[in-house]
Amino acid sequence: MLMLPELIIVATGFILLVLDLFLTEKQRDLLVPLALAGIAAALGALWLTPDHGVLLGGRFAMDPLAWWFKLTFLIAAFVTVMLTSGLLESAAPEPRKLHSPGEFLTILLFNLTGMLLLASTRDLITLYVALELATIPLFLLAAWRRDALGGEAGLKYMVIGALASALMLYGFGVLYGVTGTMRLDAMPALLHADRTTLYAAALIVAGVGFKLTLVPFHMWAPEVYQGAPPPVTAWLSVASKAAGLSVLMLVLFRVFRPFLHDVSFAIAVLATVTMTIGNLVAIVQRNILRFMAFSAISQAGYLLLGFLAGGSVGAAAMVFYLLVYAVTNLSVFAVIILHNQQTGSTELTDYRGLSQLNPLLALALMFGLFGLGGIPPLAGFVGKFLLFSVAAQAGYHWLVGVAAVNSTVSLYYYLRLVRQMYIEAPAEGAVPLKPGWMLSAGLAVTTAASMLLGVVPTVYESVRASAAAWLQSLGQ
Amino acid sequence: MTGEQIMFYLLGGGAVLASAAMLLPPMGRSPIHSAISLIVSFFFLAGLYALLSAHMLSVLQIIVYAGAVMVLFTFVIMLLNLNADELQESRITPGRIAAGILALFVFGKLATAIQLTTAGAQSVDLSDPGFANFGSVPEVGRMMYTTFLVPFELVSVLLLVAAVGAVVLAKRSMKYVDRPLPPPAGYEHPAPSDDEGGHDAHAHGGGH
Amino acid sequence: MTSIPLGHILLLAALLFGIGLAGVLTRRNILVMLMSVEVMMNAVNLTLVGFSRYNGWTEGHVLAFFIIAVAAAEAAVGLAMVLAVFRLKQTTYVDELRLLKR
Repeated sequence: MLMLPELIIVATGFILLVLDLFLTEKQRDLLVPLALAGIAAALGALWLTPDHGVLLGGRFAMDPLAWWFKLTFLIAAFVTVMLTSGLLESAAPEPRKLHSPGEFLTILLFNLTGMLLLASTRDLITLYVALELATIPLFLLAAWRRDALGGEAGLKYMVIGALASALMLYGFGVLYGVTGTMRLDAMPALLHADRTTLYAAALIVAGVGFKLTLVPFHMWAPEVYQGAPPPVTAWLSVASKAAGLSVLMLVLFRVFRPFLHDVSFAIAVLATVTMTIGNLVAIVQRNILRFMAFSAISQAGYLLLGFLAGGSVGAAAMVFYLLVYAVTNLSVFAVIILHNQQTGSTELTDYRGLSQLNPLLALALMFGLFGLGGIPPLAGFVGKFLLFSVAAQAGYHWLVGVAAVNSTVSLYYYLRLVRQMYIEAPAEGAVPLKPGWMLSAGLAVTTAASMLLGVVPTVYESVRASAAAWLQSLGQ
Repeated sequence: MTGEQIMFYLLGGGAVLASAAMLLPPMGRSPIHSAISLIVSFFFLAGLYALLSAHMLSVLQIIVYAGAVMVLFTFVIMLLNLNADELQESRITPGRIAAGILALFVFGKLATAIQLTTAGAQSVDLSDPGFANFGSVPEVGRMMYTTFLVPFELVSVLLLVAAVGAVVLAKRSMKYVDRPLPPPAGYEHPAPSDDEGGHDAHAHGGGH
Repeated sequence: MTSIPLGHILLLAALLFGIGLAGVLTRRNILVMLMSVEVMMNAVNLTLVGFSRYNGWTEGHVLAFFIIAVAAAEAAVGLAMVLAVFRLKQTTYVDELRLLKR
């Protein structure tokens, strides 16, 4: 059944919410394994789901690339819950503990539902509602700690998010008015290359750019990444971006397909500005969460390169890089979450000497940072290579040069953290970190994935094949 | 000018004036006056929807938007006890002028695009039997429960998330998470016969 | 047939959209910013109603309905956060929330 993963996640969310009413404080530790079981069941259902097909008269459709997006969302959710388990359990250290674990997990799972449905939507109304369900719970999660930082982060996120969604909505209204249909697939034939279409597209891209942290809609990211609890930041940096990319692909490849070539220059400029600003500002960051925010902003710039070709190669490169980025980023965040959980600090300098205190953790973090920077043979390098080759094929050689320079610059700031860990001595009285087994497992799996995805060709092969099949399906 | 057009300009003008009044002095100075201006604006809009045969939306606008959302805003404004003295923000800064120009620019662009798209458009004749139920509750409901069932269910999940999240966030402080700042200088605690301070005096049972 | 030109309806909606946008960008009080976003969403609703009236489509009304529902959810979430922040900091001004600069 095509909608089974979504239904399983929604059901798990409801079960957790209701169960939470009857459990005592200690019994609430049961909720994390339950959530993990639900996500695992959804992953199993996804495995069995065919990668094409329609439901409800074409309003809900499964296509090969949607399948990959859902896989990314579910894996990210599974790992995030594993990484958060240390903060949700009743024995967690007080000031950093996340209270109301049942509600937290429920809201996270409903957020996941919105994202899963976003990948499969084919009409404007479902797109809007799924996108809001993929966004609004994040405002809540960011402010979960209700301390000064978190509340501020949540509010700024909220206001900017509401503004972005209102802008996008106006674009949707104009699209509907001009074409007369809510079906996204029917729109390309009904749109003309005039100013109205241009303004609608601009408004929609502005709204989606907020989610993808494209410049100049990225202003919320550093503050929200810093103020939210680190596990929420991890989820944000991976899933919210994936959701934004899914919407952008839907909009550019389905609705505005005839005009994609005309806007490719604008996309190139947007990608350049996003990469460059993300990288330059990351250099001066001293707080690791803000550091990761700007790193994430620059990664969004690289992702945009896939739109320049307009064909299945570009889409495959983007989906593959998204998967790679998801596991690599989560592996980095695993260490950040652990470090914050046990020392309460988020300063870069507090990571010094980690290689002497926790050699394995430092090694994993190093691999993660190298993966983000794009050092071979890690998967990050392969993903970037694929994206750059899309840009080169489309004739944007200057852009490839800019992207390569940016990649090198990013290595500088990633290596700064590696230097802290390996060359600096640990602080006086610093103790080794003690990860729980779930966090260790999550870290191990994501690090392994970020190494293997680049080396084992089958994953990229299947993404490529899916993209080719998806391109066929676009023709209808 | 037909009666319809006169009504449109009256209602439309009222909506624009009320929205602008929400932002500009004298109403814009106080949050509660802004909220009331917005409610007035919503009523004008509801009238506009009714004029344009969107009957269900017109009633929904009053019941939900003016009657629930704005009441929520008013509640919070009253609860936080904000008054006009707190707003010292009627300064005209370059940033604000730039923002105002940006908004005007956006409006101008949209307006030109609209003129181009809709020149010479003819509306359908709603007295046609095909449009017997246009904009009525059964018609909208039929579409919502058949074609748009998935978004309908999603919205209910979204509202549940909002309700749960709002309860968790706005709960009374838990001792180890919230550490309120000391009251501002010159603040006098009310007489001890009240419970707590003026800011927290609402009748929540606490917990869930 | 309605005698109100479609262009006028859409122009009115664009004007409201602009007013709302100006409000969000210029005001610093969170509550007023959220109210301005509500004005923007109403402008979208008016656009949808105008297009629907002119073409006899009901789908526009359905989208407008969902927009109202989502706006209600957003308002609830936003106001809960305002309450939570205000309890701590006694201010609703964006400028005074400055803990997150570096």
